[in-house]
Amino acid sequence: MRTPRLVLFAAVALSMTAISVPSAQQSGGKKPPKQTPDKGVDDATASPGQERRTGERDIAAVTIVTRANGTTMAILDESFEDALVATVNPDGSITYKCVHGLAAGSKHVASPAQPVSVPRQTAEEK
Amino acid sequence: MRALLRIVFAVCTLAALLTTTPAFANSTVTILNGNLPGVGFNDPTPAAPVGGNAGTTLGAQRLIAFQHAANLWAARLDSAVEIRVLATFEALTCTATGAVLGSAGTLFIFSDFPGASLANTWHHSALADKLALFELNPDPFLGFTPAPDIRARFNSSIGTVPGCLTGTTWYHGLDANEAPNQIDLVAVVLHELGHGVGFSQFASVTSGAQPANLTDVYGVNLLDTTTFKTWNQMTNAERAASAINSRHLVWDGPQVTADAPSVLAAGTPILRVTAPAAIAGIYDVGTASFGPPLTSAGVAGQVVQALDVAEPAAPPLLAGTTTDGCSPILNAAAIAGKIALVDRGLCGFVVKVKNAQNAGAIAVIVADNVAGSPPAGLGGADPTITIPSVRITLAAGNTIKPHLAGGVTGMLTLDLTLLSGADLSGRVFMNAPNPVQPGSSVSHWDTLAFPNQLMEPAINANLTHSLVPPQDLTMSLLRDIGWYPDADVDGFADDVDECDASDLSPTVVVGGTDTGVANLMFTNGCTMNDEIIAAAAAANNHGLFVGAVSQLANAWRGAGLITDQEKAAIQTAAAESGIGKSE
Repeated sequence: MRTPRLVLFAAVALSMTAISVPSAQQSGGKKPPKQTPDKGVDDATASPGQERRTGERDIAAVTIVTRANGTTMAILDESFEDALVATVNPDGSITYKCVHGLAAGSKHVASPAQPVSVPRQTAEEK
Repeated sequence: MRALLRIVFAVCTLAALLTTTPAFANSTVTILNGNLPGVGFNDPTPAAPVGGNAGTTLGAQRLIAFQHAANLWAARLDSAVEIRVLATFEALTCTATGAVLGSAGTLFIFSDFPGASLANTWHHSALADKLALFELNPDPFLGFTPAPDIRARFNSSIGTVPGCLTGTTWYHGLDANEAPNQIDLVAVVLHELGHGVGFSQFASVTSGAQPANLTDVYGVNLLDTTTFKTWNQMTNAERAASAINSRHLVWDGPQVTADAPSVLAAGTPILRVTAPAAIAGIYDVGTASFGPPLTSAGVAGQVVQALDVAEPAAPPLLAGTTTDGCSPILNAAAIAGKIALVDRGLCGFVVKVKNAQNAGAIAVIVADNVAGSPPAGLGGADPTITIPSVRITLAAGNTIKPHLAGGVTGMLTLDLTLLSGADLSGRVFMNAPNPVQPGSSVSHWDTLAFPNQLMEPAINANLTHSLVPPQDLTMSLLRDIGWYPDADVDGFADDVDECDASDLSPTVVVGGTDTGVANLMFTNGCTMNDEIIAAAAAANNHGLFVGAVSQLANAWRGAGLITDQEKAAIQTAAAESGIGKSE
């Protein structure tokens, strides 16, 4: 019992780094929102039900490792990261959108999602 | 023996960790700076201190802001195991009007590890370490040992590279006081780290498939109120359907539901159709950015289709319809004093509402012309609009329209019985738009939540940097997935821990003498040292203390926890100590 205990102790001790994290105060006060999601400013990009999909979890790319003690570990690829994309609107406001992974984020920036399946072109969406 | 081993391991691990963890922090969130010299966190460009950030270089300010966000998390997450975040600032995709701000996520997920809260269930790496009480992946990964738990990347081009989000910069202050053209880095880091420590699920929201066909601790709490199944009870197809079941996918964890009334404001804007009975009920609405907001008193009346001329095509615009409200209303007599119904399309929302207002309408309902839910809001601005207006979904419009001829009555109101962002049972909505939005769907709150929440799919400027009630529900959700409160990080939740400030020294220490005996932890959350300290506090004199320690040592020996030699060492240390002796 003692040997593994000491081994573990050593392993954990080696893992320690000296960067400590002090407690911090909550800060900031209420301010008017600078952008309101899904309120459809001229309906350009903020309609939650009307954008193309960009990016998705790549389940097939997950690597599974089973350890001797029965623990199962999955190594996730970049598609499991949540990327936050910002778009500056013509009025200067900023619209945010979360997508899965940097690749999807880059794709979104290069080609922002547009409304789809609109029966007819509408001035409100310009 | 296995349980005892775990206890011993825990004490050793905790002791090692505590040597580097400040007493005032509940966990250690370590930022592993992955940038090379001269760039990212190491960028030497001079910068003026701002908003409590005393850094004098760009790199230093980035690191301070990042560390500040990590501090906020560290103060809330109780864990004996260091949370390691591999972070870099690097040039991510950016154009003049769009940019990837950053990304983050857990690098590993674990199931069936020692201490797992649920079997066959994925846990985020940091959470799994907390529950296991030791680092589950001590191996090197991406150049760091042990492996980081979270990978985070943020865009270094913003504010530094011409043509990248022109006119917009990061705000490096710590006080949430960014200008309208600035992005609060602390808030973005808080949000992204939130995903990394547990505010995310791992199934595909389009196929419902899960890694290795295992559910996760997040999905266990996702309840679909149509099927009344949680995500761990669903087939892949059912999960995919649930991911777009807007306003029917809720968080069913007890802590969130308990905390929601103290966080979310009372009042949800709705359309309540009162007649005919066949379509009576509550319909979701999107509110307008112009005109008066809905009130609890509401605006009630008959719903009438507003009619106008069908506008001819004017390329690139296609022709209008007689129901789009884009021209002066022709049936003003029928509209006056009523709630006007118009269709979305062709012109701006303010045009439609103004035309209805001019015809005497008391309110306007815009029926969407594209399938999807929940209904988006109505954008635009017109200070001359004095009547309320809302948007309903295409499906809702199609439900109501066939009954207009027979008379439909309804009320646009703020329903104070509903929390803003929760259902009738007080369960908080998860973001489940239809069509699905990978990245936004499910792993965020519904945007209906008000006041705005950190883990909505957008960063709103009125965030307070708080993670807890009464401002925010993020920690409440994390409690529900297993981040239980544990002030002394001994692996026992505070509500069952009989020693909430345990002495976690690796060995039994009596009166300053290190006995060398392993300081074991018992199933009530107390260690041997805790019991000796309690004995010292209860003893009126040295003899009583020595006797009490002797009894403890005998009991531990009798239970096989220590050897005869160890028992003797403890008893000798007690006898030779000065505890209980008068000066």
